[in-house]
Amino acid sequence: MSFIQCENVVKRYDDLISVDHLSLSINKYEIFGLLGPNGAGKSTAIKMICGLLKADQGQIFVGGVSVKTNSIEVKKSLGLVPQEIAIYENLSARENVKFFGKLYGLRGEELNSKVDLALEFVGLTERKNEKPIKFSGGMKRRLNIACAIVHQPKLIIMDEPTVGIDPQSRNHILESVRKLNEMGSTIIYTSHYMEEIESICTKVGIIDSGRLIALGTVEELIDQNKMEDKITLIVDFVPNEMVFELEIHPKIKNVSVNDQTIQVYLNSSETYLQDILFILSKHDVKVHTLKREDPNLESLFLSLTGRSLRD
Amino acid sequence: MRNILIIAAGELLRFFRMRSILLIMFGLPLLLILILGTALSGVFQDSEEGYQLEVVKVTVLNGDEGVFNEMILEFLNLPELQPYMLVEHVDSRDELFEQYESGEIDYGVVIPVDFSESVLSGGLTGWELIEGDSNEKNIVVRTIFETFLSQVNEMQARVLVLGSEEVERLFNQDLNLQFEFSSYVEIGSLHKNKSSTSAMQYYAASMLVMFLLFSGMSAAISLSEEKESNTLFRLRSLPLHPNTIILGKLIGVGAFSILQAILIILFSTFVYGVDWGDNYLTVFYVIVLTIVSAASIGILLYSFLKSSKSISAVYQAIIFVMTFLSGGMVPSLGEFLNSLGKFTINYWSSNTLLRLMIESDSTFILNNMLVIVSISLVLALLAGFVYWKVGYHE
Repeated sequence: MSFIQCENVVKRYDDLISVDHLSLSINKYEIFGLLGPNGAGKSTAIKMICGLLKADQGQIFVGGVSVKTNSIEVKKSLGLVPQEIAIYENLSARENVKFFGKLYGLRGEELNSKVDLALEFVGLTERKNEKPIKFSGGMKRRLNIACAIVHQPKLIIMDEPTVGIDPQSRNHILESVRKLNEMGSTIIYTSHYMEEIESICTKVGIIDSGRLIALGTVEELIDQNKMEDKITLIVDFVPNEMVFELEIHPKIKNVSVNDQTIQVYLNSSETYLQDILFILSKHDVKVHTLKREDPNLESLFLSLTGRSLRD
Repeated sequence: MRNILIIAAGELLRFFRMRSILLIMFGLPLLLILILGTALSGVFQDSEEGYQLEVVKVTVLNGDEGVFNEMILEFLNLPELQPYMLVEHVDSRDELFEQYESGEIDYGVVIPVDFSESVLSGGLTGWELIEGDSNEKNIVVRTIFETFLSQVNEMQARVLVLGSEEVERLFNQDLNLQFEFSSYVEIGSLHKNKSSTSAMQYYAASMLVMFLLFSGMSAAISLSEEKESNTLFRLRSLPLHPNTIILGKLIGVGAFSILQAILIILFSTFVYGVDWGDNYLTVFYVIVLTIVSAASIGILLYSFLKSSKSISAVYQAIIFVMTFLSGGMVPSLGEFLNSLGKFTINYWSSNTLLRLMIESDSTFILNNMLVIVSISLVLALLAGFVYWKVGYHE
């Protein structure tokens, strides 16, 4: 039985279709990664799941409850970690968490113990009486999470929770996500960082132009795309003509250039590697380094959408 | 309801955490009352002593020896006139002018020799009034003599109608030729005990209203900042009815303003000696209705302006213009600006508070309250309609 069920959901803004007949099911206790470039429709989809936006068409159920008809009930069981930090700078960390805890209906001793637990969970116990204005970006992000998990929700939606923070805080957050999942929460996690999705998500959905274009576990998705290879070359210079020749090669799916680094996505590099090297030598380009990478989510994403996730 | 109170309490807590806001909202009105009340106290009457007219020195050259002479002398010596004029008699015109030119007297009167005769014969006659340099003193004496002469005119009218013989008969028989201050107008007071307000009272009322209006600005800024700091997005993801958030915030701001009003009233009463009257319940109603109007303006501005900075700039301009036009800075601005002031919230709220201070007649206070209720109601309905259309979301 699915915990979250989206059935043929459509959302339009005037003539622009933001979510296009999205059908999706997420099981209980999953960490579901939602991938998509900016403007793909993932934030709109998340807002509709949270009951912040009404779908023009279709139905969404969370824990069997319709978001459309009973959004307040759905909201009781979810905790949203917004992409932007949403805390009060002039209240202490503890006051922030307590304020939102009260609004989630917590009272008395239960409130106090859950507030302390949430702060402990994100590693802010020692600084709970300080105002966030003194916090680093990573600490603010952690407080942002604490405010959403204080009531120990069944569903946690994390929208890019690691944007712009140091690696230490990122690892802390990723570890927290795993722990929350182990404690029984279902998690929807969006990120631009493929490695985060690969490392924590049990299931991944890729959304582009409002449509779900791939769905499955990380392994399943990579297997579907195992014929796709990525070759990274570091060269002495990059003539435009050479890039053009690479791009028009019938077996090469995509070429990206960054300074003296060229990344080539193609089907079966073993077969076509000699073609690439031939084109490079034709333009007198010397190869300093050549690296072949196994298929991953990033190459899959590029293969499916024709663009990088950060585009 | 509980969630509304939680949001209101959160709003209050955040206000109290902002020291600069506390200083401005609590300290500044008290300082302004002190500065304006002290600096402009001269513009106001002293409410306890009243305004004192100086006694005018008047010299009279009375040439008349007819039937009115006795009445004139009696009139000039009336005890009611003593606080206003000190009368001296001279025998010649030269003597009168000598005194006048030397500055010994403020006013001169020459009563012609044939005054009584002319009045009784229905002929043309008059007193020669020689006015001094002080316009104020001239007005006082002129008013007194014109009052007397109007009675003489009345008698002359009788002469013209009844004939001089008949009038003379009346004089000789039963007409009591005594001047009396008679009036068909009874002068009363619409204020119970007090005639006017002091400068401190005036500015305590106007500053209280001005700073209550700032509560609307705080509400609008708070609504906008909630959006700018993304906390509105989080609040909307909570299991709350959409109106809970805005109601909680408005109640929080309202509670802060009521605390502010209580502080201003208590401090001005015990430190500045401001008398707010004894109708504290109506004072409370005025405060609440002013806050409602201010919050409604805040919602309207929030709905039309995008950032907290632009809300702040526009709202401050509105407050200062309304305060100025209502006479909240300078009491008298001329007829045109004073009439414009009647279109401001400040005018009606301050005016009602001032009337409560001097314990005005309840009819006046009721009329003012009706206007304040109407303003609040119209603004609240307008704000409600706009909020219903625009909503409160990120």
